[in-house]
Amino acid sequence: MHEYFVTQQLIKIAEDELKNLDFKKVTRIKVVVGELSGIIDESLKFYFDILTKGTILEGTQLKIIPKKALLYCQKCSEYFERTKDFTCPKCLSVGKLTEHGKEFYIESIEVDD
Amino acid sequence: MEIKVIKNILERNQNAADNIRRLADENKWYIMNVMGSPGAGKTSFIKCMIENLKDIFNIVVIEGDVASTIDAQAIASYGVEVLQINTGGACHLVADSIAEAIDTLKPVPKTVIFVENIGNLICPSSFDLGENLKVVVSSAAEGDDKPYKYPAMFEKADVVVLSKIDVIDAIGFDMQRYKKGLEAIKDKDLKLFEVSFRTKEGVKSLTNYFYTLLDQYFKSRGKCL
Ligand SMILES: [Zn+2]
Repeated sequence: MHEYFVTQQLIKIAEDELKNLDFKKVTRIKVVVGELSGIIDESLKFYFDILTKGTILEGTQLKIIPKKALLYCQKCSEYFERTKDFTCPKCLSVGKLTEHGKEFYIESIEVDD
Repeated sequence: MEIKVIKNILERNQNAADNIRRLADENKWYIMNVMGSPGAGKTSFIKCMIENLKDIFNIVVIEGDVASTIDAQAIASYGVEVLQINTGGACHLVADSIAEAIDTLKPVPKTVIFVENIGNLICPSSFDLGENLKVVVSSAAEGDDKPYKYPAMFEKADVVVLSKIDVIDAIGFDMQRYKKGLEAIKDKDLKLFEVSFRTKEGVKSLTNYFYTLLDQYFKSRGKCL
């Protein structure tokens, strides 16, 4: 569960972003997590709560925005959601993995000013 | 107020990995990140490479393990330098710990560095270690559905070693299905080796492949060894 490591990184990025800003409280951090990113939401939240104790991020809501993996069918020129054996639901040819589903980034930080 | 960020969280690891890649290039090291499930045959693969190539190339091993030193001891008994990283529970190696290990080992120029990653098919795939090559060892015993279940890992692999092929018939492993999964995932040329480290089937062509790969790498970077 590499969420411990990645949560540390996440917190560091957020703190850097907030360094020179004037605000009362950080209310929410939105993180985009793709289905194939290897990140488990629950672990992320678990470590976030522990690691932010006593920091400016304590009590901040970690909002996770999940992204589904999408495969691409070259025959139909269309994206489709992951099927059991990667076959396109329309034409049954085998789709290719795409970047959709591998996301893992902080989208935004919300603060009360 | 909402502050837009859009920043990759794995950036720090990426920076460390890029740094390793630069160092490796300067020192003509060749780094192989060996990944796979627990018991898939990662250590067997590395032992096989050591056995067949240590007289030709200088080899060191960085052994990642959650807690034990069993694999490190097994490799040390082959007479190559090995450094153990205990992650203390973490499920993958990070570039920072590889940088530290390399700093401790101080490999001479033209060294092959094998990194045995922690056994699992999810987490290690997210972390670039600055390696030249990603090898995924996947055993037939685990079943033919692994590429479908863990696509991110197989997509990143440069070489897939399908081990324990001696059990294929016994467990009804469907090679067609397995290969179809790999082909769906991979854009680059699929390098798949079917081997059994127990019966030695396929070991020769696996060894030849790595011999040629390493020989060319080192020759292209100065005079031969
Ligand atoms: Zn289609």
